[in-house]
This record gives sequence, structure tokens and C-alpha cells, in this order.
Amino acid sequence: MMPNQSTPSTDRFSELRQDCLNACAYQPDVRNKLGFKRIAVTGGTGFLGTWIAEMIAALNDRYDLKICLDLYARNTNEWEKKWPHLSSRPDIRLYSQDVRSSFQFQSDTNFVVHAAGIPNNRVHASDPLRVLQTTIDGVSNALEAVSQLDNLNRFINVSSGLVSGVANRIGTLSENNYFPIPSGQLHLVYVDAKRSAESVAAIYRSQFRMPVSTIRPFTFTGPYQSLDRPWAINSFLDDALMCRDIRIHGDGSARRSYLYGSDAAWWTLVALVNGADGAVYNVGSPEVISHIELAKLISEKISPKPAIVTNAVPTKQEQLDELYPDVTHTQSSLGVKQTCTLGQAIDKTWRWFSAAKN
Amino acid sequence: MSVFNKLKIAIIGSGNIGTDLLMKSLRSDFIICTLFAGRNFNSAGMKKAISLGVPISDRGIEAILNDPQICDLVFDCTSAQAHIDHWAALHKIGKTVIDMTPAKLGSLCVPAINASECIAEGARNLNMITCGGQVSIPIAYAISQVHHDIEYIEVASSIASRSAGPATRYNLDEYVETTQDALKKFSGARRAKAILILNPAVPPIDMQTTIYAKISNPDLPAIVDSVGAMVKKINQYVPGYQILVQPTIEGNKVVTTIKVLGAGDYLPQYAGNLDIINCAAISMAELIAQSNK
Amino acid sequence: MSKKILISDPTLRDGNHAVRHQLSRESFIAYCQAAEEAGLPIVEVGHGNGLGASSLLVGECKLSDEEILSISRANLKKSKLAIHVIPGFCTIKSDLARAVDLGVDIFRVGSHCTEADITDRHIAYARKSGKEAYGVLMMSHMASPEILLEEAKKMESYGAEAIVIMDSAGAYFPDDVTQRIMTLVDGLSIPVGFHGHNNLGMAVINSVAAVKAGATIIDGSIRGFGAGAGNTQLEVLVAVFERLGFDTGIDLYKILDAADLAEKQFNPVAPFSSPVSIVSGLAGVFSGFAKQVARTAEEYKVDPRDIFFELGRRKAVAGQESLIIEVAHQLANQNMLQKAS
Repeated sequence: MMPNQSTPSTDRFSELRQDCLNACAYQPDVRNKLGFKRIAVTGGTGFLGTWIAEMIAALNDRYDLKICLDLYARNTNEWEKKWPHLSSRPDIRLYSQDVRSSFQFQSDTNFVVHAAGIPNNRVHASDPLRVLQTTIDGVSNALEAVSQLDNLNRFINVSSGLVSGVANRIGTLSENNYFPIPSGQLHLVYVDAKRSAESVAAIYRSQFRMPVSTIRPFTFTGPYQSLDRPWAINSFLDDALMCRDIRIHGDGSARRSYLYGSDAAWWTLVALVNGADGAVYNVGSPEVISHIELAKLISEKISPKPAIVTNAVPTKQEQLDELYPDVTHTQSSLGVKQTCTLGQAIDKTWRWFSAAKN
Repeated sequence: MSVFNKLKIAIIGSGNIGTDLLMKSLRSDFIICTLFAGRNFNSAGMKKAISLGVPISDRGIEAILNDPQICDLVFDCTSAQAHIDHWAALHKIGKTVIDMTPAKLGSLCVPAINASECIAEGARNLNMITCGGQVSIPIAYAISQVHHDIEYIEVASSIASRSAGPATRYNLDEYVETTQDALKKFSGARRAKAILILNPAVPPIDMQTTIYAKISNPDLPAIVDSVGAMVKKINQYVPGYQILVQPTIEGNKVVTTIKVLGAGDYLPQYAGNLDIINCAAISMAELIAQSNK
Repeated sequence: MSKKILISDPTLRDGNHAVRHQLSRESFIAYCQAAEEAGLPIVEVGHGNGLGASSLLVGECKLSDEEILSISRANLKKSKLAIHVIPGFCTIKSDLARAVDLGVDIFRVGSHCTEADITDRHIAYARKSGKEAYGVLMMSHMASPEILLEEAKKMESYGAEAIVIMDSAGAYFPDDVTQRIMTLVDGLSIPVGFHGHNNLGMAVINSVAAVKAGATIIDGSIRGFGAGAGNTQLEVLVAVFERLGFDTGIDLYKILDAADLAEKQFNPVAPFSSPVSIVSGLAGVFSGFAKQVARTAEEYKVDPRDIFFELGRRKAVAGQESLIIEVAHQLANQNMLQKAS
């Protein structure tokens, strides 16, 4: 099998290429099942969509699998200009589409990853209506669109680890853990909408006999992340890049885990190929780290080391803030592994952003 | 007037502004809406357009680029960012655009002041500045007709909280800066300040704008006359525009307050701020339609 | 280990309302020095309505923002320099950027208590510039505790590192404060603060209630220097907190010295609850209207107290001074009609 000639020319992208190849190296059967297929990703210009594009490019160039990738997004122009090494490829096509409207996929689409959504919590605060509509109308329109496809193998609803609610206890969240959350609360509109979206997906699976699975992403990190997305890791990176003190909300005891983009993309593709109907798969890293430990790790990337400043409420019993997955079910059912450790992920992400800055 | 004589207009952006423009266009003798384009068939505006039998599209500006014959004039009700791309494309295919966004690429237009100039110069991109601008700039101009060297003009607008959506709130700074720049330009004032206050009172308050001008030795009767004449002019296209407090001298400043009641076409009556900018836009489109003959 | 309370001092900002924003250079210099000497952690300066607010609408400032910030910064080495920011009065490009350059440490970005979503960009800008950002909810008595929490959460999501609720009209009773602060402390993961006004004579006890309910940031002005009935009296606050065993880090004698200095320098007559203040407190209307209401009432020959209640009825919002003239007009017309009949 002859490798394709279009390899990325710059160093940053060649490292991403290697990351993708590492992520899929150990599952040749899954790679083969993707051969000659057409994959559609809604919200395709987001983090997951862009990493899937990198992965498909790697698979096609290295293994000549002739996979076609269609990326659907509201705004495609910016992405097209920003990542020409992906957008100029003949195997990757962009379609401008707002999921709040009815739409159609290419008639020969075999796999769909519905990743369209608004994870940005600034928008949750300022325009919760748009968040609700994009989430619920979006998944409904996407499922309607796939119901017209003759050769659909699987539809993945990209949900969120947040649907489990607020645990307020130490420990992982498995796919079966659910903690109560109140209704009618503005700051929970996103979570409620994602929960409803899972119901919509279940309806299409059952009532219309469609091959639907769900993935629940926890925190992802890596190149192609927008640093202005209001997540702790982004704000720590941004502070460090700007040589500022790293500021932590709260006392820093909150714990998360961070899955690198190449693993996130590969695990999603494996779920597409080998997922079971109605199954839910947590997608995230099992390596847990507190905010304060993460801030320390990042502070070591820069010299002189920035100070770390916490902002705890002295009078309040700090609520436990644990948001990381139990991925045993995902790993045992799908056979996926984490190929990029937390340390490596932070290192790669740091180098990507500091190179971008200079 | 038969349909064949009317100027064909397209509206891009199916939010409140675009939908209200659509409703106003239906009442017009001079323009006809041949396309209502947005990105989302599920929006309230789209559903309204469907119910009115107006041709719709969810392709946004592509609907015009794919069928340039569909319209002569375009109202762009999207965003400043999107307008930059839209203008580049529409310019090439010879369309005239009325820009409802704060992009300010084209000629700043306040119909009561420079409608004829805009038409005479054949401006192909007309920017409607801001809602507060459409209310206050005519008054600032009327005062400047009496006093040619105004040191400072200040405009404070209060709008109902309900009339300010996420886009307005996110773009407060742009609103303030655009209004200030246009105030200076049209009145010749050396300095200008614009203030926007959102008032959450229920029932929602009507839009209200107070204009302050720092003038030494103001000629109050002349100012009252000039402002009065300007209000009459504006009433031709904004019936709900009225003086709430006649020009008064307070210390070293002249103060007057304007209230704008909306027509209630699509937006509620208290949203006079949104209505006036739309009235201004429609009035320019109608003038263009008439000047084309 | 005694509870730590962060005192933020708006003497040179909120106090500016009391003198129609005419505080002099000397006053800024002298008070900044005295405040720092007393160990005040945060000193807030500027026009009464914040950055960029010098205007005909709410009163022109004697000094420009630039002047105020440079002289204050020059005289505050240990204390943090804070400013009040209301989107709609100031912009990032013209005002906040300069404030960052002039060395402001804390940007307290405020909105009316139901309009927090106008603060997104300004809070983000302060944070991106490496500065501290607080969210401030003004006229907070006009929203329920649950709505206040909702709005505070928005500010938190924009990057605010603390939320301060203001009793702008001096309308709160201690139980109101307890309820609101408890709700906020419970629902937020960032510190909560309280800014009191003394219209109904309860600013200090309200501040104590706030602390007992979990607030850790309290605003207080020297001699209560502020609009109308004035702010929570800072030196009383320090004394009371000291007796209650709270640690403010402020030297009691030195803050009392600062009070003497303030009396001589810019506040010879301490604020008190005048009839108008009492009425505006009861009416729930912003105390800062007081001087303009008094002036307009005299001009139109109407009772200023009637103007206040009418403004309260119309739920007038801070910064809406142009409404005063309209209301006075209306009341004057009503009086004429009554006289005629």
C-alpha cells in the first residue's frame, strides 16, 4: 500500500500526524472497517471535528483507506482559512449548515458524528435560548437527516459528561451514575438540553430502529482548542503564556482529567465502527489531576515560574468538584487505550500554544 | 402601484430586525420583498415569512449570489463581521446594500439629514449607524444649524431591557462608539458622548433619549424652531417620534428629550429604538426606488 | 483563627457623589495616603458612577479619569487600586484600556441587578489584561435572592472572581441581607461581598448580617462619605468588626485619624439620613438622585418627596436622571390642574 504524498509540511502538524498514527496503531481491524466509507461530522469545525479531520488525513495518507469526510458547521470560512492543510484536501469537504434548520447529509454517508453544540459557558449565560435550540433542534434535525440514509452504519450523539449531574462526592462518574439537579435553572440549561438530546436519540433508535450510540466527552485538551473557552486548563495556559500569575477559582482542589485530541478522535471513530445500539460510552482520560496540581505542572513550563493564586471562599464549606470518568466500560467494550499521557498532553498543548504566540 | 414597478429587495438575517423590515416592506408602495434569507428555518422570523408567503432561504447570502436577479437592493441584518464578507460579494454583483449592522463600511445615513445627498452620490452601501443615533443625530444636527460650533454633545438613551437582546448586550461598546462618531460627524461638535441604559421596568418603558448640548449663550427660540422643524421631517418616516421635553436651558447646557414609540409591526411598541432604525432604512429604500425611475 | 474580612473602601468613588464629583487632587492624595497608612486593602476611586461616567447626565467630574487614576496610583503602594465600571457608560477601547495602563488592580464591573449579561466583555477584558475582576449587582433589592444568584452565576461564568451586591437605595433590612447573601454564598464558588447605604440607619448592622451569612468582602466609606444618607461608615465598621473578632487588617486608630483628615479635607459635614434619604430608602430609589431631585423639585415647585415616590413607582434605575425632569413636569402639571379645579 503506497502512502499518499500529501503530508503536512510544518513541524507542528507533523507531530499531530504522529499523535494520530499512535492513537490508531493498535486497532487495525477498526481502521479497515473505516475503509472506503463516508463520515459526516456536524459541528465539524470544533475541537473534536478538527481532530477527526486530522485522524482521517492520517489514515488516508498512511493506510490509503480512501475515507471521505464531510464537515458540517455554521461558519466554515474561518476554519478553511486557518487550516489549509486540512481544508484543501480532496478527502475533506466543508458544508455550511446551521443544525437548527432541517438539512440533509450526502446520500452515501455511512457514519455520522453529531458534535454540533455550544459548550462555551459564556454563551450558556448570555444566550441560553440559542443553546437550547442548537442542542435540541440540532439533534432532532441530525437524526431526521440520517433517517433518510440508505447506508447508515451508525450515528453517534456527542453528549456531555455533565449530564450525570453534580456528584458532590469523591470518585469517578460511570455511565450509570446520575445525581439530581434542579429544574428551571438558567445555569443548567445546557445540562438539561443535553439530557433531553439523549432522550431524542433514544427515541430515534427505538421508534425508528436506527443504529444510535452516545458518547459522553469529559474534558479534552490539545491543539485546536480555543484558549478563550472558559475551562480551567485554558485559563491556566493563557495565564502562563502571558507570564501572569495563574489564578484558580476556588481552593484548587477541584479535580478533572484531560484526554488528548488524538485519543478523543480515535475513541469516537471506534465507537462509530464498533459501538452497540443504545450504548453510552464515557470518553475521557482516567488520569485524574486537581486544578492546583495542573496549575503547578503548567507553571513549570515557563521561566520564571509564575505564582499560583487561589480564590477560595473562606467562610464556605468547599463543595466537592469532581468531574472525571470511569472509562472501564468504554475501554473493555471498544478496546481503546489512552496513547497520550496527561504529562505528554500538557506538554504538547503548551508547545502548540507557545509556538502560536511567537 | 403594480408589483412590476416596485424595487425588489432582499433581507439577509431572519432575526427581529429583519422580520420587522419584512413586515414594513409589505406595506410599502415602492418596494417588494422577494427574498427573506437566514440560516435557520426554525427561527420565528422564518416561520413568519413562510406564513406570509414570502420566498425564503436558509442559505443566507448564497441565495442571492446563486440568483442575482432575485433582488436589486439588500438589507443586511446579520452582524458587523458577516457584513464585511457580504458587502465584498454584493458589491461585485452590483447590488445596493442598506447595512443595519455597526460595520460602518458605507456612507452614514440619517434620512432626515442626508437622504438626498446619499441618493445623489449614488452610494451603494448605506449604513444606518445605530438606533440611538437615528434618534439623536437629527436633533444634534438641528441644534448645530443654529449654533455652528458646539463644544460638546451628549446623548443618553434609555431602552426597555426587554428590547435589548443578546446581540445588543454583547455589542454595547460598538453601539456607544458608532453613535459618538456619527454624532460628531453630523453635528460638527468637538466632543461627543453616548450613554446607553437598559431599564428593566415592567411594563417595559418606551424608548427615551435625552440630548444635551454644551453651548455658551444658546439662542433658545431658534433652537426650539430648528428642532421642531426637524421633528416634523422625521415624523414623515417615523410617526412615533415625539418631543417629550422641549429644548430647555439648564445652566450651561441645552437639554431636550425625545420619546420614540414603535409602529408595532413585528416588534412591540415600546421597542421604538429598533423601530426607528428600521423606519429609516425603509424610507431610504423607498427613496432609492423612486429615484430609480 | 479569626475570620478574615476584606474591606474595600469606595470613599473616593461613591463619596464623589456627595460633592457632585468635585473631589480635588489634594483630597485624593491625602486620603489615599491615609487609607494606605491605616492598612486598607482596597481603595476605590473615580467618578461616582465609575469609569467614563463624567457626563452631563450624571454630573461632570472635576478631574479626568486619567488624573484620578494617576494620582491615586502614585499614592497607593501596598493597597490595591480599584475602579467601578458600568458598561454603557464606558468602553473597553476608550476607557478600560487606559485604566489597565494606569495600573488599576481591580475592575469592579457592575450592572443593574437583572442585567448581568452586559458585563461579559468588560469582565473578560480585565481578566485577559491580567487584572482582577469583580461582578457588581446594583440596586440589588429590586431582584429576588434566586434571580440575584442567577445573575451572579452569569458574572461568575464570565470570569468574575467575586460578586458584590449593592444596597444602592439603602432599602435593605438585615433579614433581607441575610437571605440574599446566604443564597449567593451557597450557590457560587467565589467570594461574596456587600455594599451598604445608610438611608434607614442600618448600613452597619446590614454589613454585620452579611458577614454572618458568609460574605467576606464589605464596602465602607470614611465617615459614611457618599451620596444622600451615605455609605456604611468605614471607621464604625472597623471598630465593630474588631469587637466581633473579625480580622480586617486595618489599624483602628489610624482609620480614626483618616476620619479626622476626611472631615478637614473634603467632608466637613458627615452625611445623615435627611427626609429625602429616608423617603428614597423607603421608595427603593437610588440615593444618588438626591441633589438633582432637590434642584429639579425647586425649579418646578413640586415636593421632592413626591418625586421620589413616583420614581420608585416607575422603578427608576440608577443613571436615569433624565426621568427626573419628566416626573417633575408631570407633577407640576398635576398640581396646576388640582389648583384650577
